[in-house]
Amino acid sequence: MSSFLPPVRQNSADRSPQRRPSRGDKNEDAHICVRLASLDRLGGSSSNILSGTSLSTVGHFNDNLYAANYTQQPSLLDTLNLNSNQSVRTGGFLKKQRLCLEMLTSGYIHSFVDFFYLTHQAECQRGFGSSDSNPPDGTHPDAETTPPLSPVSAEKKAESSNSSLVNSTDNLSDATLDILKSNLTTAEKAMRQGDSKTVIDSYFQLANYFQSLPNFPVAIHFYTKCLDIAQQSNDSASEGKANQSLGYAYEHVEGDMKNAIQHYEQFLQIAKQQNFTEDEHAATTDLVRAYMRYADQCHNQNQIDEEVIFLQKCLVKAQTCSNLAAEGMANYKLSMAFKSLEKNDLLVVHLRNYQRISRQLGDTEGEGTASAALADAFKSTGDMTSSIQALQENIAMAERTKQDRVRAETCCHLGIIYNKQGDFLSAKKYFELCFELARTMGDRKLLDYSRVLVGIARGNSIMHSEPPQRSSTPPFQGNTDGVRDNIAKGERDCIGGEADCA
Amino acid sequence: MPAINPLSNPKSIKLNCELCGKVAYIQCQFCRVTYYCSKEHQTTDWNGIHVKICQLLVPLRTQAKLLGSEEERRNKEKDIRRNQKALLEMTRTEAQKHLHESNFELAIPAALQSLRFSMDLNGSSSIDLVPSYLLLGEASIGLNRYPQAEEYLSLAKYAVLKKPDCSHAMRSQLHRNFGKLYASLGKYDEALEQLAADIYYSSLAMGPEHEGTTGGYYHMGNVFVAQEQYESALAMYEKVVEIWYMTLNEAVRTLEDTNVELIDEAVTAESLQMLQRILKIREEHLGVIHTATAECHHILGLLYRYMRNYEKAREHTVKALELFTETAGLDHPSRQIVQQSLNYFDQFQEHNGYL
Repeated sequence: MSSFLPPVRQNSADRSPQRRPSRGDKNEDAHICVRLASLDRLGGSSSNILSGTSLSTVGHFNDNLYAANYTQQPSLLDTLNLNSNQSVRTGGFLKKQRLCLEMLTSGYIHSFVDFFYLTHQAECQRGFGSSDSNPPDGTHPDAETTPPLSPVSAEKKAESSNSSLVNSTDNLSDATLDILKSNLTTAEKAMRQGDSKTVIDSYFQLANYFQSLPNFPVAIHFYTKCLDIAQQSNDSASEGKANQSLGYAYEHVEGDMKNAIQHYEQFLQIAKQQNFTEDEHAATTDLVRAYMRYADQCHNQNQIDEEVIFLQKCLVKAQTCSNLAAEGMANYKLSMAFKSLEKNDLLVVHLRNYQRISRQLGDTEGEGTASAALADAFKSTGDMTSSIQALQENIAMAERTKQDRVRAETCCHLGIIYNKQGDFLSAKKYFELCFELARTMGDRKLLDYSRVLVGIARGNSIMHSEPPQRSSTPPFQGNTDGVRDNIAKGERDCIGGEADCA
Repeated sequence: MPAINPLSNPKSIKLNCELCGKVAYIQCQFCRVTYYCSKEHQTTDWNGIHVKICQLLVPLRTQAKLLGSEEERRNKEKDIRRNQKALLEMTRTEAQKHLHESNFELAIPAALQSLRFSMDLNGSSSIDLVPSYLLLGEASIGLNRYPQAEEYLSLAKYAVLKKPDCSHAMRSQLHRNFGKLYASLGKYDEALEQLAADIYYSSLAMGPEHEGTTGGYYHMGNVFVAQEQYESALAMYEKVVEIWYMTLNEAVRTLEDTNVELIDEAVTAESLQMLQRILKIREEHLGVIHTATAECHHILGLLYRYMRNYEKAREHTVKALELFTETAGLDHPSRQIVQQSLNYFDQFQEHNGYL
């Protein structure tokens, strides 16, 4: 049954299929020289008559001329290949042309239309007819014989030129042209016979082929056809597969994650409805990836609210398919998003989740990142106790995993907090630990920095009611302004906090 | 009708028939510069084109009594050329109109005149003669004068061969006419080849889904029917119907909203012919009660609406609605589209006082 919907061919099962008789041989010979000579005679005789006031062409023909003309028709291809040099130079064009003509003479009209649009993009983009040469004397033969483009045709032309088929398909190789023709005609033949499976398979082959080139817009065009036919023939498996393929193709078309997500979601819905567990798992995995990528796009465009929505979706799907790594990452990114939105309670929840998952996965770096971020979060809310606890956890983790640098940095942070709180003994302890670690690592900058901090802490502890303790380190003396300036110039590459001098 | 005696003509002056070139015995009493061999030819020419250009031929075929200055002669030549161009356009349009109305006898005088004017303007071997040759070829095919048709088309082909950068539209028309000729002669394989080339060049000129390309699809469908390849024929017709549906939808809406005509009369006449035949073939091969037949009725309804034949338009649209209801059911999208179209039609007619 035909449809009024835009041109995706319907199942034509209710057309009565007829077997085609085999065609006879084509007329072969091209006696063009003889033909041209006879035409010259004809043209000459006509013009002599016509230059006068009468015309003798009606009711008159030359018997010999007629016989010559009637039996010696050049074949179409010979006419097209008139100039052999031209055929060599424009071999690609002639191949396309030949395939178009073959499809038409075999009756595969829909295949021809698709093939034409795919292989004549230059004409589609330039506008049909504009590639014609300038006619002589300023007259335009097109104006006389070509009806004007209707708005519908102009719109379709614009649509076709802007459509998904545009992506430099004019320079397709001969092998690609043959594959294209073969699959299109197979699909059309199958469509006439009502064999939707073969139609879908043919279009899938084409789509996969173009995807492998890669030519995603054309692949999307054919996957969409597969989807339409699968929907019309209630083939859920193919519909799901088409949705998945479309999702993948759209992922690779820049800036089109929304379409990709839409198709993956449809894929998932079909898989659930049909109880295809493998497909369900695949769809969920695809969605996790797609949501994450789209959230990253939103983050880059500073659309934090949208980012949060999709990260939450990603989180749910990651939990569904037990993808711990993705779950952890989603939690971390959510926490950073909530940090931008200044929602500290949610920030902390997600960081804790990230920390837990990192521990589960044995990701010490992640765990450390989470702890540091938690400490910062607590610090910003003024919850120093929680901040201290988080940092101490981090130090313990770093010690466990022998990450000296992480341990040193965290000790520094902790020392600064204790220093702010007035617990100079603890501050001194941690700064000294940092100093020792820096000496072990041989990090000169950190060493100098931590030495200053140790001095500050010792000085503070002396100044604030504690009797002087005998120690190997000399008491704080001198001006730290110069040191502080150096630090301010950016030599503090390991510590984010600031040294506060009481 | 004033008779003339060839023997009384001045020496070396031969007055020949406007249509067939034989010796003339009759003169047109109105312009007195046109001659005919018989009353029949005079009547044919009069009905074909002469009624419209009779007086316009006088200045072109009469020598000036006074030879003025060079400037005057130049101006006169310019006037003559301008008139010839205008007459060329008019005669071509008239010939096309006759062809679309299937008045092939009347198309020939108009086409011959257009060829004459074209030769006067552009010379005897210009590419600009091709449209006139094509008109003559088409008219001859319509009259089953195949050898003459082939002659004209060969002349056109020769002109095209001599000019390799000829427009795609012209090549398309040439191949279409050859296709129709071979189809009439029963040479179906050659006809298919020619029509395939027509469609190809037409697609290059206008796009594969332009209404101008539907002629090629239609004629190819006819050839497939003649070869009993009904599957291919129906596929071709389906494409024709699809394209015309989209075109007419837009054209009707534009016409009824803004009174602007997007498709000219000749094209609508041709499309009417095509769609009527397609309907007939669908009824024969798919059945009278079939969605494809319903679709045809709907599109014919749109076409008649465009042609402002509202009675026929309603008849076909209602028929389409009935068939869709019977074959597809009340909820089918196609039926709903037709219903919507009928509603808009009713509103339009009410608004404009037709109901």
